[in-house]
Amino acid sequence: MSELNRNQQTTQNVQKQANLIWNVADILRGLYKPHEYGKVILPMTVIKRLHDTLMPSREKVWAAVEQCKNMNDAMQKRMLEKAAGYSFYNTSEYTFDKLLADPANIEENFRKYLNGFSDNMQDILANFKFDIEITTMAENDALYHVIQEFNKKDSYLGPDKVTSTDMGYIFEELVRKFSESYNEEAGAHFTSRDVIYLMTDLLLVEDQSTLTGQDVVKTVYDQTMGTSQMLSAMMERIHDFNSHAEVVTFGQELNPETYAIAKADTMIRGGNPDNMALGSTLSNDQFEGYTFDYCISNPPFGIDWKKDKQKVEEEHQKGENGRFGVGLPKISDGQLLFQLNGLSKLKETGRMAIVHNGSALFSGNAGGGESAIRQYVIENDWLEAIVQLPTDLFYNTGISTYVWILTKNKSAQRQGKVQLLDASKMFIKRRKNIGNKRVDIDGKCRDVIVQAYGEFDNKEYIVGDKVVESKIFDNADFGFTKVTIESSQRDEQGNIILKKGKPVADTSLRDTEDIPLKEDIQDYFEREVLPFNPDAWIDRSKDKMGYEIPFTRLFYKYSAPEPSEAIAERIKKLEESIVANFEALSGKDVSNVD
Amino acid sequence: MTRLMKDSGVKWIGEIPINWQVKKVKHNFFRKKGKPNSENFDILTLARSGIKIRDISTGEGQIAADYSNYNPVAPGDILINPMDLVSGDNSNISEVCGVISPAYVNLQANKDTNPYFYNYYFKLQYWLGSFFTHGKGVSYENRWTLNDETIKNFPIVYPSKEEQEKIVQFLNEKLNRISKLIKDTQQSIEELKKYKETLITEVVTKGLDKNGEMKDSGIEWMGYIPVKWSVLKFGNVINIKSNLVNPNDFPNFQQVSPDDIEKDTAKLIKFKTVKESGVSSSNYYFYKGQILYSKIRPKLNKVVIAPFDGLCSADMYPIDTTENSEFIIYLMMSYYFKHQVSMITADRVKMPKINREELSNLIIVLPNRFEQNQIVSYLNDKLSGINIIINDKEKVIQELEQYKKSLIYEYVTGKKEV
Repeated sequence: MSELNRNQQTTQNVQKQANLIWNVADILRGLYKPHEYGKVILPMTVIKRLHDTLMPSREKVWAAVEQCKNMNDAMQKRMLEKAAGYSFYNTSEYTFDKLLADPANIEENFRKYLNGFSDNMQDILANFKFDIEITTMAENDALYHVIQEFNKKDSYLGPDKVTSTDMGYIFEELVRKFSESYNEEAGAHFTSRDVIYLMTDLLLVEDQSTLTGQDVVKTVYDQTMGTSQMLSAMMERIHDFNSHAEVVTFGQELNPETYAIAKADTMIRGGNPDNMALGSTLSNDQFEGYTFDYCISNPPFGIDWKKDKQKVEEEHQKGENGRFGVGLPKISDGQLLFQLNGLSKLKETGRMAIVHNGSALFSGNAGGGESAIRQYVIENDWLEAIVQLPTDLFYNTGISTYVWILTKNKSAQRQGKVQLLDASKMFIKRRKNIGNKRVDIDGKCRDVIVQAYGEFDNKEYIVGDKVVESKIFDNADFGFTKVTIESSQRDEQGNIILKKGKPVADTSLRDTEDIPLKEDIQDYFEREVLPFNPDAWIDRSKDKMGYEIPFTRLFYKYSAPEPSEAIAERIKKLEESIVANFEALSGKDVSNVD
Repeated sequence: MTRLMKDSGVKWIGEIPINWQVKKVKHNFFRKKGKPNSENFDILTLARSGIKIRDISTGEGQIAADYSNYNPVAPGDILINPMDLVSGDNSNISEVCGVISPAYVNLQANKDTNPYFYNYYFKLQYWLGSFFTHGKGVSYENRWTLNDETIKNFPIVYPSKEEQEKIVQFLNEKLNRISKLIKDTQQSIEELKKYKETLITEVVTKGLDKNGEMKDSGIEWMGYIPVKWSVLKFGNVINIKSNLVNPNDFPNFQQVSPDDIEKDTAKLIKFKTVKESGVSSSNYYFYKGQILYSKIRPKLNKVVIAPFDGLCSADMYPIDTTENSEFIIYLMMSYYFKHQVSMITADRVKMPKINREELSNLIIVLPNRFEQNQIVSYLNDKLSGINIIINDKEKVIQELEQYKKSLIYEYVTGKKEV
């Protein structure tokens, strides 16, 4: 479905259905704060979807329960899934109708009903901590009303009326309502749709040829998936190219509640919920040895990795046998570790889009972990492009952010090159802020950015007052050698001290120079150092490699001040006008009026 | 004869005289880092106007818990704020001894170096944006910083010391003159503004005919007024409206708040639709031609004639009048009116406000409608002339500031020769 159709559908059926569901909030008012409504509404929506989905096959499932009573767990699971016709099932005898027929025992019966669900659903409910919500609702007489509300005819969510695609959108809409209701805290786990679509389109624009045809299967991975919005957007965009393509999504998430949302989302869309994993990607990788066609993620930035320190350092020690052999960033910011994890899971033909803040461009010193990670990425020729996004784009931060596009098989023209795109001025202002989000990259802005990326040229793309600037650089433009310059020790008479005929370095005079990779070190030394320090020498054994991307400097446009004569000329004219006006004014004094 | 120039190799410096060199900061400066060496030292602050001794007894500004890590400063040291690269020049040269926060970079010139020349040079780097582009950080607004290494290796131009001194002398003299000019112009703008107020007050209390017959107004601070004029309460000629509405019912209406009106000039500087401004509390509905008056902080005298139908904040009064509303506005801008208002709010420290009754009870003097019209057209004409002059003078100040920067650029980079 095209984005336009999708938007129309969203505004009509999907939005209507989502609003209807969200109305349950009326019952929860007072009992929950607005940003907590989702804690009830999201799990209940999943429960109701599964309830309605499983209704036609429930008798088959009961029969299967009897048949496989004596089988082992794995066999049982297989039989029950087969009977249900889905990757989940419920063996309970209860239905919403039956629950509502016995108001006195609603809590107990509802728990029995939930206990009948298969393990994958139990996992979702546990991570939603739904048990606590049941108690809260039951103690405040809200449980019956909530179930009643979800059992209304309009709340029917069976697949015969609501397709899995629509259900996905409805759920996404509910997650959006939930996340945006946090206001200040919105988006700690939520990337807005406009950013996601920009990333998906940057990932897919160069891949159109591999997406067309029969039997297309693509795997997509998000290492910090939050509520898995990026995965579902990738699925949607790939289907825009080829509705027959099979898209299999994988994701890992640290926060149990958002993980539960992601898993439920996958279940609802008809995907395999077992591909959704809980835990820290850095220290508890659930996808070791997997590789994917696409990696898309917005990992936390400026967040320390203290909790993962021990495991990450152990893995670093393993060198090439681990994900982090290249180098470790400072403990205060783990974003480049996510970059390494993503790369380690990228197929040889894979493509990756990852959001970073500015520090990934330049943090650390030459010879340090961050610089080594940049060196690894650039020297392997995996860094294809970096797009600077507008500020005030995310829900939870107003700072500058950058999408890095990485791939292990650049097209011929891109080899040895890095494309930088300044899209910081390509946005529209929002009417109303959501948290820190004041601007959007709407469809038109996105198209310009994607076009600029696709054309791979030194060019400005101007649309009205908006502009995207694209510049192409050589990989080597970003590297430098930090060389150590030594100067001689001198005695009290100012004579150079020699040991075995060689001058001895005075460490208090030690200095360094950053010499660009494209310059010859000796030439540079003779030109930039020797004239000021004739007895200096380079100690090449202390050389360190550095890589950084001075984005701001590369795009800044210097303009010399206007010539002083031109300004003086204008001042003269102004002074003349002032004198003339003042004369006119004094000529018409109060006394002269009759 | 024009002198021979060469490319400096530095983008933002451009061409320099052939006998000048390009060096690095570390070649001509020593970065001073030390500890205060006595108990008695002055605490210094870096301001655009210079390095100042801070009077810590007044407790102004941030007070560090401990000055033991502060950096000693001697006359001639250049101090650079490496964390303020966006908002403009923030480097200066010290004329005094003392200590300063270690957040600033302290550069001591070597014997071949005139620090005053480089004080100009570093300010120039802020203006040209070259310091900014060498900054690093995650946000331009906050902690966008030049690191030590970048400063040490930052390119500088190097004319001979004699030439540096000649340029400094020339620029000092020129810039002093320009600064004096700016000050005089500012002063004259202030005078013109006072003149406007005096003119308005004279005309709305004494009329246009200086030889006309006068009478005692009976009000001590008003004195004599034209014989045909009346003394009234403000409430006799105005009617304060109170048409409160829910802004959500008028999403596309223009909305006006006290912030949108310039003080003392009766000018509406901006406005937004209800939707854009996001107001949700009750507003007054006003009509085109009504007078809008801010009842909070009335000393600021924010008053304007509504140019359209719209909504205004409940902190404002929409006012109807049967008189010439432009005359009423002038009357409200007069000294005698503002004086009465400030008497009422004088002892209200928190949020000074004037209520309906107080506003209605103010004393005013009023001519007939014909004379009102005459006065309005006279003042409109006269004030527009003064406003043009003020406007031109403000432009002159801006241009002079720009002129200063251009001169510094031209002489410090050798584009022009002293």
